[in-house]
Amino acid sequence: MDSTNTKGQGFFFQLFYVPGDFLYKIIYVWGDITILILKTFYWILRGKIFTPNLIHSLNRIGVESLPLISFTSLFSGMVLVIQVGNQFLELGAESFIGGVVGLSLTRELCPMIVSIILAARIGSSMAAELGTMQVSEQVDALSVMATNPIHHLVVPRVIACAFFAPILVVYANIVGLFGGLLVAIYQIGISQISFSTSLISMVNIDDLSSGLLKSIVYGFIVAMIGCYKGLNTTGGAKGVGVSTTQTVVLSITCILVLNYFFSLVFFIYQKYAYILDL
Amino acid sequence: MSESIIKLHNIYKSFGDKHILQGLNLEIHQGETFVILGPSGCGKSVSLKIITGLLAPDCGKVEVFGKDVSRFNEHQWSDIRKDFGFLFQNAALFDSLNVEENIAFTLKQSKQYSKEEMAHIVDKNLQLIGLPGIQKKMPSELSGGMKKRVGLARAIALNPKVIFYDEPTTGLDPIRASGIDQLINKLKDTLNITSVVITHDLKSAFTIADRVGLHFDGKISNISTPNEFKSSKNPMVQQFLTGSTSGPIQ
Repeated sequence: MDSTNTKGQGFFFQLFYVPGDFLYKIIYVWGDITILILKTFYWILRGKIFTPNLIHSLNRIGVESLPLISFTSLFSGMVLVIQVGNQFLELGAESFIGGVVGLSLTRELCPMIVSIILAARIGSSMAAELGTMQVSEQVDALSVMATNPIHHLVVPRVIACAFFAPILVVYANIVGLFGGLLVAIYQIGISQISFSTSLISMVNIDDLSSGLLKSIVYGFIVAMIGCYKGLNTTGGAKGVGVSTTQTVVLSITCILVLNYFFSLVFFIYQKYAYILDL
Repeated sequence: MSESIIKLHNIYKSFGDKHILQGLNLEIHQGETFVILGPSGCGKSVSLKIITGLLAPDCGKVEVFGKDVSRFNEHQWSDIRKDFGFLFQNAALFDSLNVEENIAFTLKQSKQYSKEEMAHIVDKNLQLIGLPGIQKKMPSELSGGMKKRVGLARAIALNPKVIFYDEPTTGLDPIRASGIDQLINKLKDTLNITSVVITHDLKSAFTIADRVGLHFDGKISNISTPNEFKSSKNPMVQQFLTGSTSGPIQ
């Protein structure tokens, strides 16, 4: 992007230049990301996927994320039951604990936990890895050797991330509920039957699928931002650091903003589904 | 004179307000070693990237193997690049692959070779660059000179018609630098490969070049044989050869 020196320009110039330049940069970056997304889909739809990199990415994104997701979701489930359980006990509503915890985990908490972990762990590593390849001319080397960098580097990472995100959410749901169940039984003092009955009666397939659908989109976004920032890294080691940080910040911001709109859409859907008795 | 396989006509390239190439013209002939000399930051690498399609010119025409490639898309470039080899300044070996996998990368992508054939080519190329038996080493275990030689072994794996060398001797000791020079000459003599070399190593340039040009002010000028270049009265050439800090090159 052009970096024009504006020092010494008049007040009115600055007044329009600063917001104009900011807007231009936003449009420029999102335009570039959109082009990268379209190119990625082009390769996916052609069915040409570089299998060795896909297997490597699946292992790295899926299998290697399990320990961290186990810990975070287990303790999130446990904390949630402590917070909810004591309040509900005082209100005499302990039979709702399992359902409320289940709804919170499946709809919001687990998709968010998994997405934020993917942004911090996988998005940052993609940006750093591809950024290092970019500044050390390895990406150019791929192009010169008649290998398309998007096909070779981006497509396997995006597919692996979007594929594994919902699987990790299912796993996080199970671990989180298990943690919640343990605290419910041994600290709050409600029975397993009460917890399970409430859970089954209040959580339905729509709650589960909304969380899974969101996580596919978040996984895709994390991978796209990580790859985009990595492939557009300039300026050596410092540039790699900047790309890594920007990936995490931008991914988490996008996830939080999108989560609001997803929640809104699912809420409206559930409302009309109830009215129309779907 | 043999036919021109690369032609650049009136190429312009800018990055923001920096005008790197300003009307650059160049012809590279089949089988020759053409050396582009020039001060650091003058745009030598940009010229090389425009020839190989890694950068698109703002305007001007690029011809490679008789085809106008100025507006080629990625797929069209892929076909042309199968005849290219590129030795990058820092070798640009893939960190995650060992030496054997790096050299065999293009062979594997071409899907025309069996495992045995690929192993044989890797072995032969490693012998050629004087580093036999390092197939399983990772790039991080190699010195700078070894990386460059492995980069060269990778560049010639698919028997390219043209090899581009981006400062092949920079950062090497004189003995290793001479070794690279000999290797470039050997490849030209045995395989009739066309070479385009960018460097500011004068000794290396005059050892390998059939023709030399000086890249300065967005153009390549004073294109001549090494002997003619050395005896040129042009003040830019003289300043570059003597390394004087006063003169037209600042």
